[in-house]
Amino acid sequence: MAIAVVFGMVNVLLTIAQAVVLARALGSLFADSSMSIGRDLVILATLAVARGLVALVSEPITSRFARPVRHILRVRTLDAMLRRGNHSPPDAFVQLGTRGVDAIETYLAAYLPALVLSVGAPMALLAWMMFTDPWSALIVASTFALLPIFMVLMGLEAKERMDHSWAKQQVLANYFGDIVRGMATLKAHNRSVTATESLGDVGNELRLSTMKTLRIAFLSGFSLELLSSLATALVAVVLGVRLIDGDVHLTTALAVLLITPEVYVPLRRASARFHASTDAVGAAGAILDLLESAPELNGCESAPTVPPRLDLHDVRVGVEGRDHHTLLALSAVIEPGTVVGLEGPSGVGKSTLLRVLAGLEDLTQGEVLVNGTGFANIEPTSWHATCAWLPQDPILPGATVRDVLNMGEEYEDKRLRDALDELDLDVSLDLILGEGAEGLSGGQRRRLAVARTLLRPATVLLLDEPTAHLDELNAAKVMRAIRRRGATTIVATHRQLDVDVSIMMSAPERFNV
Amino acid sequence: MSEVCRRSVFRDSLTRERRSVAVALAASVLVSMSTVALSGSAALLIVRSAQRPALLSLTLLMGVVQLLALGKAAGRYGERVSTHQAALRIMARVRAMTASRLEPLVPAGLGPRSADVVETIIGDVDKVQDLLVGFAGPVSANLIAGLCAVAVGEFIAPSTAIVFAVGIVLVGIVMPLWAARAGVRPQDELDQARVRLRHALDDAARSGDEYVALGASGALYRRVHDGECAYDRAAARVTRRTGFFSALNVLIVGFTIVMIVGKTQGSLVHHSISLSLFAVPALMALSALELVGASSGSLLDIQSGRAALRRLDTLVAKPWPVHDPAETQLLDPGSEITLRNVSVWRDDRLVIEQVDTTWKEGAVVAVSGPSGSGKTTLAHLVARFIESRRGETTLGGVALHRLTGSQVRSRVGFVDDDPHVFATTLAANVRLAHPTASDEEIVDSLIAAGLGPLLSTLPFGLDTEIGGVMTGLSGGERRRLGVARALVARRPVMVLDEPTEGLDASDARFLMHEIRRRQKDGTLVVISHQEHDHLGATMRLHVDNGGVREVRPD
Repeated sequence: MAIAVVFGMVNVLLTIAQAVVLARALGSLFADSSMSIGRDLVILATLAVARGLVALVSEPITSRFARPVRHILRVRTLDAMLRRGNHSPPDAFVQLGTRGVDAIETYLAAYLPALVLSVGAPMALLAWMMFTDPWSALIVASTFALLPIFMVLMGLEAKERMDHSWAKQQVLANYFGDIVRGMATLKAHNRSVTATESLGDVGNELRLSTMKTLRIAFLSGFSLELLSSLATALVAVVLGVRLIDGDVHLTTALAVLLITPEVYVPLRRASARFHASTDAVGAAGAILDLLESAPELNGCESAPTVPPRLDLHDVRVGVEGRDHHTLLALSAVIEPGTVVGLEGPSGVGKSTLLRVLAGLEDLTQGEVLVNGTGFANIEPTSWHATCAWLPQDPILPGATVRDVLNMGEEYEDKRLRDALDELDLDVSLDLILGEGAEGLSGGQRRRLAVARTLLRPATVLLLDEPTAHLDELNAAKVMRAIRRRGATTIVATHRQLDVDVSIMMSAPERFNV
Repeated sequence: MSEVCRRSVFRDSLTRERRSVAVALAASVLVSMSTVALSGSAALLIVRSAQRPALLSLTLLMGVVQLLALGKAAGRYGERVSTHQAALRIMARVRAMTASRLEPLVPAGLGPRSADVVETIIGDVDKVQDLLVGFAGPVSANLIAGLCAVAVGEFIAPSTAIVFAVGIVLVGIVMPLWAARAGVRPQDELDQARVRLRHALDDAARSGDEYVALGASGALYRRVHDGECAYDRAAARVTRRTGFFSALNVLIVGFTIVMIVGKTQGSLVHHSISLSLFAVPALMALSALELVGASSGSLLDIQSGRAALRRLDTLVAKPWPVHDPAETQLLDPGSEITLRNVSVWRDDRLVIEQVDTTWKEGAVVAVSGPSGSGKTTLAHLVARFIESRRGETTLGGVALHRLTGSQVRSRVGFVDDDPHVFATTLAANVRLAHPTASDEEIVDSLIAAGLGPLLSTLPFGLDTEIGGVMTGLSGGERRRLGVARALVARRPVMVLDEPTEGLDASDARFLMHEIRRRQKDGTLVVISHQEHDHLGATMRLHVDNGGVREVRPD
């Protein structure tokens, strides 16, 4: 950042030199048109080359310094996202991780140096002016007295933007995402056209509110512009009068006239980047919130490498968005290597319990012991390597079936093939999938997700509805494959499945079978 | 929609908003003009004063200088407001038009990654705004600067005019075009790196839990790291290019001024320029070139804006899965559905082969079959989300291909196996199926769909905000919501794709009972492999490997 300021100040000095030499050349011509100004012209050309050099190197050098910050922020955002879990609308997160982080980079690389320059450069220029022509310096300095008004306007603008802009952008992002993702649902009800038209209305609404903000935002720009052009005019008129009186030399007058508008340029540049700064402050706030809201993970015991015994003691989990009476209390002992069915009506908390055991959510109350060790004491990464979780609505990220199965690992094709064959899933490893694996039917998707889960070298399997969308035959195949792993397994299900023990979860009662 | 509507979204929007664009351009021209005039008249004032005339003779000129100063500032404000106004107007159109062109593609013709689609719309449309804001400035500034060159040449010093004109052409036209051409590749690389980063974060936001719980989060970190490195390389290239062109810019401006001063001397010696005007060309040139140079930077934005426009246009150029007929036929009152020798392809895969069946009004049709056999495609066909390539499907005796999709769907209600929950209230989520439904009807259908218990636990009842991708609704509840929508919509034909998935047997029985009760007079088609969903079926169809056969009850 300091380098950016140094480049800026060098540029200011070169600007002054350029104005002085140009004024001197013109002044000489005025005095005697046949006077040789060749030397001045050579100096002017040299100054142009020097300014060109500064322009050539300044941006590549200065932009390099904000990069590490961007790297760190991006990784920290990802980190927080992963620790916090998938709870919020994802578009908002993605916005934060992309535009939000970029906004902060712009703030550091562009706005902060511009802000420092907006103080330093005018001071340098004014100092020169004071030395050359105090009267004009006084005029320019007096216009700075109007600066507080400008700052109040900036403050107004900032407030307006902080209140609306960032939030609005996110709302809009989610609105578009919502409509586009839900387009199939809307279309089934003949509402897709209406919804699409409402996008136009939302756009107009956004325009109106944005214009309201911008009208205020541009006021600050207007006031700066006014200061600068009025000062130029005033300086010109006063210089004119003084020239007539012979108080000042033409060379000085021309140099001052050339410099006057330059005094305001750094300020204008900083205020033009002010938008970036408010965006960045908004984004920084949101990222900080995200970092804070992400739970700190601790625990240092490593997870067991053979199928462990799980003890659930009076466990309560909160079901998101529900009243407290839907919490459940559950106690159970799950022996090593057994397959346990978790049953109960919808919404009782089966999925949440699995999420808790997968280390994705905290217990509301109670205790879980793994081979007698408290769950909270186990090092999370090693637990995640030990257990494999199949969510209720698995998302299958990856371009091909192979990518989906690998999920960051690189298994041999034969292993992948075997995993698919075991579930009688006849799809090519190279089959290209869209989002949510839409090239596959519901049942194929489910079996692919099961195959992915079973590929992991896990000793604890937490499976949420592994047989959903499957007919009896395929469901039985899936259960056989699960049993073959010999892991300590919990299967949440609505169906009668081949399990060793069934745990009944129900809202009012407290107990299990 | 015809081919005409498939023209560039942007060009169409621009044409429709030409008035506000014209206003913005006019404002921009005014500003450029007063900027150049201000420095010219100030130079004239100074030099005239140096000749020490009577003060009175200069008052007019002084007034002009002050007036131009005011006009410039006010004009700049007007320019910015009107430019943004125009840009936002066009953007609202571009957004709505892009979305309306996506609509026919859903659900069968939309490409992979809907998050990309969303980001493309938002991100690219934002770039369109930059394009708009960046465009009015350079165009008018170049125009005015060019005019000034001519004016200077004509009236003050013809010898400087050529240098001035060359400088303007270089700074305002040649350089931006060159820069834009040189910028295509680095900008593309930057965009690609951005996309990679976004995909990684998108996966993390959507399925981060799975990555974590499968011990695979390292893959996400690697992807972010790789994306970041690619981004750095591309960004370095972009800044080097920017630096090069701004350096060149500074050089050209500097040398133009040097040459103008040199030429001015020549003119002075030959007395072809009056002494009081001699400083005007140099100072005017300085401010005009600065103006042109400053705004030509935004021409670089135009490059990325154009890339965005290309993407927007390719997005909507995908083939539609269904084509509405040019002349629509009126629906007959009946709702009997007949398939005669129907074959359906998805992309180039034969999914349903030579199906013949008739679903009478009031029938309860049970469709079963192994996963991936084509059951859902059958439902898509009847809801007119996809067309058969062979054979004929009729609704109330009218061939589907002679009806619009919305005509068909006003008769056929379809509940897919993953209904979307919109980020709005529960009431609005149901009401979308039947906009004039009363609160009572909504509550009634929610209870019938088995969402009564959920409703009673929601803090604000019907007005509770639900939605977003993590909805707090379980998979079973989402399906129930889909059923509630279908119940409120009251279509003569209801097609349900796996309605009871994620429900236990007794809940499923209750739900199906309620659906059958309410759909008594209409046709009900239930796709499921759960036997209990098929109670009371009047017809049983088994789909296997694209073939459909009727199963006679034993």
